[in-house]
Amino acid sequence: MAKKYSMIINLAKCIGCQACTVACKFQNNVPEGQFRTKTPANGLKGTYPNVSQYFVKEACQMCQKAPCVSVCPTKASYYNEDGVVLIDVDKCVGCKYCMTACPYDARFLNKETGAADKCTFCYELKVSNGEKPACVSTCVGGALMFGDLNDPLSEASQFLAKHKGEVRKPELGTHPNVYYIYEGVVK
Amino acid sequence: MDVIWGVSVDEVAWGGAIAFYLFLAGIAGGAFLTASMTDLFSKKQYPKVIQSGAYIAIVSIIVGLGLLVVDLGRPLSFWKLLLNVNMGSVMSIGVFIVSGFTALSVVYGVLVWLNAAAQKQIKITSANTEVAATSVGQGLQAFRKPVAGLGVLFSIGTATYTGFLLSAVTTNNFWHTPFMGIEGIPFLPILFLVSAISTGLAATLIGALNCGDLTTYKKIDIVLIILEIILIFILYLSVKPVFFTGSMAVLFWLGVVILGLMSPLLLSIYSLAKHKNVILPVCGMVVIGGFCLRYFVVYTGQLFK
Amino acid sequence: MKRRNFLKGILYGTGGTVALVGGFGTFNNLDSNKAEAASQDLETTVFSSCEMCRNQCPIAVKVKDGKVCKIEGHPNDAAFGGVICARGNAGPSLLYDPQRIKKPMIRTGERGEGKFKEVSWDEAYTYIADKLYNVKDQYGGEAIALASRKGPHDWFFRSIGKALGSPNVFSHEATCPMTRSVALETTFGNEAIAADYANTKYLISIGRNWFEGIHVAQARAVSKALSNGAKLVVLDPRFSVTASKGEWLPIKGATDLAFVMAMANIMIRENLYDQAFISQYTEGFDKWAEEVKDKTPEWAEKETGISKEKIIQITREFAAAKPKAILDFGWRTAYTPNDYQLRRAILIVNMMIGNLEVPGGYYTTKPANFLKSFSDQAAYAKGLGSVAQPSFPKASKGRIDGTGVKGTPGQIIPAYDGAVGKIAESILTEEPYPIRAWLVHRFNPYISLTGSMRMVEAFKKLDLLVTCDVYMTDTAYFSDVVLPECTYLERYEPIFDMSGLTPKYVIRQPAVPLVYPDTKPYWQIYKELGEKMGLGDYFKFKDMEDYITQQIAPTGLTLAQIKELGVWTPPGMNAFYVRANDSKASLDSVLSNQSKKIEIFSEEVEEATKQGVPKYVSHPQPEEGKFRFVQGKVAVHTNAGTANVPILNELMPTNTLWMNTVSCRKLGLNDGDEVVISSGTYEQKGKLKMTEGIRPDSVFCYHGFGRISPELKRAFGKGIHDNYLIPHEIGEVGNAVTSTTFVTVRKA
Ligand SMILES: Nc1nc2c(c(=O)[nH]1)N[C@H]1C(S)=C(S)[C@@H](COP(=O)(O)OP(=O)(O)OC[C@H]3O[C@@H](n4cnc5c(=O)[nH]c(N)nc54)[C@H](O)[C@@H]3O)O[C@H]1N2
Ligand SMILES: Nc1nc2c(c(=O)[nH]1)N[C@H]1C(S)=C(S)[C@@H](COP(=O)(O)OP(=O)(O)OC[C@H]3O[C@@H](n4cnc5c(=O)[nH]c(N)nc54)[C@H](O)[C@@H]3O)O[C@H]1N2
Ligand code: SF4
Ligand code: SF4
Ligand code: SF4
Ligand code: SF4
Ligand code: SF4
Ligand SMILES: [Mo]
Repeated sequence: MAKKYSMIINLAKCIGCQACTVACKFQNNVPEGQFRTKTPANGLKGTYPNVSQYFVKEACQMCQKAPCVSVCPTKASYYNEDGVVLIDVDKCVGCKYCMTACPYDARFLNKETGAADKCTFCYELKVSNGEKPACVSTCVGGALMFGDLNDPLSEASQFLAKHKGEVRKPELGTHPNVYYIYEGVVK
Repeated sequence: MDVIWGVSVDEVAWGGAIAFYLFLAGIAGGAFLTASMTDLFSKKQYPKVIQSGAYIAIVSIIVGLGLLVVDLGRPLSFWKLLLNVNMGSVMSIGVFIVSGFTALSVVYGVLVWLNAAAQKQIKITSANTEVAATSVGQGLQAFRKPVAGLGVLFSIGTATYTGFLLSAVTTNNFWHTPFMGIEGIPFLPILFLVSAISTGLAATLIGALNCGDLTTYKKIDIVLIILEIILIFILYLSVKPVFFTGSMAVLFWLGVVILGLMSPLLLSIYSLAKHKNVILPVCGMVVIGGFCLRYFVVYTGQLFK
Repeated sequence: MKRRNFLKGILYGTGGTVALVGGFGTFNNLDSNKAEAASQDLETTVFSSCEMCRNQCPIAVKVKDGKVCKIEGHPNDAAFGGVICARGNAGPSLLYDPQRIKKPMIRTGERGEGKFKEVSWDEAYTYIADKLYNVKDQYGGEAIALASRKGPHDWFFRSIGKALGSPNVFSHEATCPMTRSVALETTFGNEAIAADYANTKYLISIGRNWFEGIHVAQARAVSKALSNGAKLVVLDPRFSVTASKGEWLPIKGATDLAFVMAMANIMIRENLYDQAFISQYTEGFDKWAEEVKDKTPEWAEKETGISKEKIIQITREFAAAKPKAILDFGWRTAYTPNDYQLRRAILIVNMMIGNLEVPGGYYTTKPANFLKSFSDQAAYAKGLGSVAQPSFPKASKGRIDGTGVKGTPGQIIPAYDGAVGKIAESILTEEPYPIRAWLVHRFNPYISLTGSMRMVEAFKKLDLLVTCDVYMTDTAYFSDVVLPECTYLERYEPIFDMSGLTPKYVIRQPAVPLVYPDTKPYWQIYKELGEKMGLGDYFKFKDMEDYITQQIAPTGLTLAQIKELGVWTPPGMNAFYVRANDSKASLDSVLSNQSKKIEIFSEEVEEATKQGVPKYVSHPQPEEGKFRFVQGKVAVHTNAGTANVPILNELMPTNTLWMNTVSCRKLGLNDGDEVVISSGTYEQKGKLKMTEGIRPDSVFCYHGFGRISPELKRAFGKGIHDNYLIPHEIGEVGNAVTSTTFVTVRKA
């Protein structure tokens, strides 16, 4: 059965340490000054001394109805057999149409290849070898989970069964495969 | 936390080059339309208008396409746009429309030129060339009107395509704005079509400055400007006010509204009444306003996602 | 798998090829046009340990085509779970940084002018040897000081100084956890005590910032405890990331002892403490009870700014969770001159809930030698051996910082560490005698020690300053000789004992050959320098493989085994707490002091400091218009170490000065303003960050910025250098003092 890979981000556990940010850069040879993922702070909110803050990891949301795929003129952006949105660097002409279409600012034009680039869930180099994505396996806070939602026994499925996962900008109908858990943070 | 991690990427994906390309594609479409419609339907003879429109169309679309290619992350692979087709992508379809249009406008331009050359044969000094040009030209002139006719379709296609390109981005609130709230009828293609004809016509007239009575064109232009003002007003009402704030607000109010629409409209009406020739300032303002409009739409849509 | 490539990995000089990743199956799911994936079977893994900070987390270094392409956490170490932090991940960025120092250098211009010439190692050694012998002949061996960040390099580095008869060897500890370690030593006779965060139910931090001052295993453990429902309370003048994960109590700086004493007061008054534990294991509790009798929550509220209700509530909750509760003893503990007494008080309050050697409390680390006295544990592991060294000549004079002198605080300062801040003082004041030569290894006193400008003055007065580092640091910039070390990814080091609840050994081995061929590992540098100086007898090993072989011989492990494993823990052994199953078990093996008791009152401390139990000292609070200046770590940088590391610099090139919104308004300042921060004597410029996340009477910045060496091209001149503003003050047990400075702030 085809897989439905998904990432779960448990915000209460994220400490904003950027280990994911750096791991991703090396795993994927991301050029200087560019990032496939970052985890900026949301906040501070409130007034002294009643303040709160949390961090939100940002990257491609792996939309199941991905605007970037539908606009791409060359089919360089595509869904692979496991529902992961990928970019075929060979086909990409660098028109940036996908970048204008992505509502999550997940894409950038790779300075070195000239092609569109973004999070791939580390599909080629990690996930297809049965390993976890680089950011997930180095997550210091233990905030990141990864797994196949078509497999009810996967850690991701089990976790989502018990906790309320929210997707970003659901009103856009992009049906992301990245879920955020807001339990334990002041939204 | 102290910092925003890493350089913040607030650049927009599509910048000035794309805005200019959309503008030039509009001009090209509008200019072609002006020339071909004149050629096809006008009882009066406006050879200058036809020539001006036909040539401007060629130059604009080629320069525009050049900008588009240069703006690609991988310019040398532009040909892959022709090989890999995605029927669901407006850009992919657009590539074929614009390519068709470019080809037609070049053919049409050559025919127009040959026709003109034939009529001005006295000026051609080399006897051999003269004969060749006129005879080949005469033979081919039979194709001119059909090419113009087909070109009409492609030029409308090109002009509206520039709007569809943006409006197809369903996740972009601004670009995707529907016409009068009617889901399924996107706004930008309509606006861009009107603006394309208006700016294309204006550019054509600038190219045909001193060729007698252009009153009909001026009248059409006034209608187009009024139409555009109505459209802009509808746009203003249908999207969130935030789009008209910030760094792009000045461009919108000064560039699009005052310089591009209000001033040429008033000046144009005034000149019609007073029989003054103010084509250059009026058309100049319309053209600049058209560019401001593209720039505003391209940027604003991305800045306030 | 291509056998030829496998061989190539070995031939590339490391021999560290341990596991090949990818292998079969690699092609299963891949598009055939993914060339990078196809070459994946070239990727090898070398197990080693990280040195982007001194925590030395076990790592798995991925090497492809002879280059380190990525570093991951070691997959087989449960405490780390395959995790490393942002800095650890950034390792290759340091390794391949073209701004590293690549050749030995000798100063040619004036000190601080930055003019150097590249020299051969031999010239550098000769230069250092001549100068050192000159100083020794003229002033005595004691005029030579050595300072390094504590670590495995010390055995080699210090041998040079000790062989020349100098008693003045220092670690960096006085800038870091020294008050804590002295408190542990004087209370338990044992400083190797750690906290079992993972199993705790209640955790109070007094400025300990697990999620920014990162130790991967600790951060994971605290995170695990929180997931299991533990409560976290954070006392900190500013809202740290750690504070954001618990309840933030913005305490007035330098008043923590009041909070801790009030806790004791409440626990005694409400009878919330573990009397059985106190009577079985401790001595001197009465004197403590007497000392805290009047330290009521009402009183503490006035001192700390935390309401008495809150103090009472926290204390009751803490006591109710006993013994699975931790009042944390801190890590960087250099806040005030009497920080030492704060750490003592913290340990005492912990002992009042009897949380020693139980899950969720404190425990002593369990190296192999510790297990000897437990018949059921002894068989699990054998201790490391060592490489023999002849004895060092006895120094003719005492240390400059007076360690070991009875009747003074020096009595309780460990001579291994010493008061490193004293070096600059003796250079400048020549008290008790002058220091004329200073060797610095893996340490940057200009950035790390308070009173930077005094440090520069001291540098200028020296006959010899030698710095061994991987960068041309600010201190290196003032040095006579700069020695380029290779990075941790290019060298072997002695086996590191990282025992926790079970024994644990970690190796560091090269993942790739030298990137810059003229750099060397420290053991080679000091061995060669020693040999040049005729001190070769102190370095009786062939190379580091030989050294390690001698080290691990008694354990029964072989070099090949440990290289292949990377990290070794006794198979089958469980976490070991002495009192887990027997709450009355003897703690004789844990308590190494003479009394074999937990010394709440300590004769020795009484003799050294006149405070056998901690007494409260009230430190001044900032007057209107002035601010207490506090600092801390940030997750993406290490201390003085990484400001210039490309990827980390890219993430955070500079720091800012945090100030509360209300205070900004009063001063007419705005977020992002350029400001001048003044300590009265010195000024630094910086950018203001207006925030609700700090006490209105305090300002804060992240440590490690404001670099003055132009060779740190990325970091040079960016941000605020905290220690430029903090006057040099040495605390009671030799500690640096960093939280008692007041500053004013104005628009630049
Ligand atoms: N990412 C990262 N991790 C590191 C390091 C690093 O540089 N970067 N360094 C390592 C080292 S060497 C160490 S020592 C540890 C340090 O680990 P920690 O000691 O946890 O780290 P700091 O951030 O220095 O913590 C100091 C905190 O104390 C607060 N503070 C200052 N004065 C006072 C006071 O008077 N009272 C109270 N209650 N709080 C006060 C500061 O605001 C700051 O938040 O981290 C280690 N891990
Ligand atoms: N005001 C104030 N002062 C502080 C602190 C604070 O929070 N506020 N923090 C204090 C604390 S907790 C500490 S621990 C100290 C830390 O102070 P240091 O020990 O000076 O700092 P480190 O960052 O560990 O780096 C020391 C040097 O080691 C170098 N280095 C890194 N790797 C290698 C290597 O492989 N070989 C060699 N030879 N050199 C290497 C780095 O380039 C750096 O120059 O600073 C203290 N100073
Ligand atoms: S987040 Fe953006 S890049 Fe990723 S799948 Fe969705 S639209 Fe495409
Ligand atoms: S930049 Fe590449 S991936 Fe994106 S739309 Fe254009 S061709 Fe497709
Ligand atoms: S899944 Fe891989 S590509 Fe995506 S953010 Fe994580 S490390 Fe980067
Ligand atoms: S590594 Fe994990 S904890 Fe750290 S910033 Fe990334 S998601 Fe958050
Ligand atoms: S805490 Fe981070 S930088 Fe320090 S040794 Fe561990 S992984 Fe390396
Ligand atoms: Mo430290």
